[in-house]
Amino acid sequence: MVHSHAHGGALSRYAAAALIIAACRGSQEPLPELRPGSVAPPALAASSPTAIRATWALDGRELIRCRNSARELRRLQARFGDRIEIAAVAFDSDPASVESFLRSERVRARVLYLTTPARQAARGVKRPALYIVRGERIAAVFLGVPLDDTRSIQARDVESRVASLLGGSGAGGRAGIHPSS
Amino acid sequence: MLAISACGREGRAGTPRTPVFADLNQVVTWERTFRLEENQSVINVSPWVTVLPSGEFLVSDGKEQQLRFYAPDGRLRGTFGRRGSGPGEFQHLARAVRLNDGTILAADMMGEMTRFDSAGARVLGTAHTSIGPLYELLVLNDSTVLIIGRKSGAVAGPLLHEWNLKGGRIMRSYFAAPQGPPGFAGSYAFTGFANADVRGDTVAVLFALEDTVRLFDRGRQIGKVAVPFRGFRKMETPLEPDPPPERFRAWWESYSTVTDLYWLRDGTFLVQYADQLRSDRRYSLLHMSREGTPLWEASGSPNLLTLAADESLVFVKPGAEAPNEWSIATLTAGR
Repeated sequence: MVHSHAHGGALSRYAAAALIIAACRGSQEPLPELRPGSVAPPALAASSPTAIRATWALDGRELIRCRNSARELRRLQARFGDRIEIAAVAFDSDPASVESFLRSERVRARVLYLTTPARQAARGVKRPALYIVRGERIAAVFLGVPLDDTRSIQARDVESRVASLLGGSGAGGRAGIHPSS
Repeated sequence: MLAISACGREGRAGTPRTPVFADLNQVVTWERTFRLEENQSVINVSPWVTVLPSGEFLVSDGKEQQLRFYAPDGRLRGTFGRRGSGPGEFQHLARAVRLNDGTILAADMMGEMTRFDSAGARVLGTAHTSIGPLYELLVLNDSTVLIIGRKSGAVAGPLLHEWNLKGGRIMRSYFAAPQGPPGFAGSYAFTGFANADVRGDTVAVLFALEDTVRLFDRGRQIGKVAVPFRGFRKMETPLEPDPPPERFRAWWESYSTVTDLYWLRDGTFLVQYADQLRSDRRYSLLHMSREGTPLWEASGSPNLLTLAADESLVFVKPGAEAPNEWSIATLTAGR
């Protein structure tokens, strides 16, 4: 039901089990908006209760836009390395396209491609968006496309938020939902 | 760049000494390979490269909005420029070149020019050219750079613009953007950059979707050379309005695009073109005489990043996962 195309390892047993359970529960009812503190749908959950995951939720159009979240993922990866998990959840794009795009952007991310049942469980996930999750709880949501350093949502907010979750430098990023414009 | 007039040069026509379809290893000699130094704030994602007279490399990276100096062995010597909208900052860094006085001129895709000192440490000035999108920069002489781009985003109109550095204005524009067959104008504009190189007073230009090198002298076309492509795929269908992503991808993968044109001292041309497969590019390299005789064409070649003044070729290392490993080669065939 969920295909994992991981760079550097298979989908964790924890996340895979959660995805399968969620897929089986799939229903047509709308889900409440995902906010900081919400339980993340399985597609966004980190691999363990203490792990931090940054997930780019995207559809195929993101891959042909000039602005998208690839740079933010690349910066997170460069700054925090193995201390965080980087993932992309593709809603209507084939995984090979997402993997090819991320490779060209030098982002090593686990790519999750949601088939219909799993997509039901993730239908509260907005896109494009960056979700920062600790364990199974959403810590921050950056809706839209992170913009340049001169606009209201600053790319460095994403880094600051992750840094604060990790307890390192750069704490103080704004919590909550951050619309991009 | 050596000042050899194109018009007086005879290319090496005649029987090719290597098969027209060649393995790149048959036509170049690999000299050395090295890895570019990177760190937390330096990642080579989309490097555009100029080899400086010192042998160092000037890299402009439009994905990272950063300029870098690299030593010939790949050691990082310094960085400058960053994302933003202030002096020395970029939204869409397009190209950077070293001017004849040693200063660095960097262009934003929307036509903003920033001149740095030779070390990249200080912004000496900025100017707006009204060219956007801006695709390419070439140094013509001490006072003029050639800008390839579209005036205020126009679909039609000239693609080449000679920009006077001192006056900060365009002195001459030429080479009307090809429009393609009827119904293709929008598609040609979407993909429509051009590649150029300069020998003496002559500018050679090759539109990304075409197979004809056109030669200009002071804005006047003085000749053209048909490119004897074997593997180049012409665009055969226009882009439909607002296509869904998969349809867009299918269209994007349906044609080849010329990515680089190099005019060598012996008058021959190197033409690099690419075929898109998802976000990956499959490159091919063609070598032809000044008259358009094919010397060789290598498919599946690594990305040729630039040529040095001594005409050594700077490639992304064959098989490298990322463009942070480079190989230096020299041409051994077709010369």
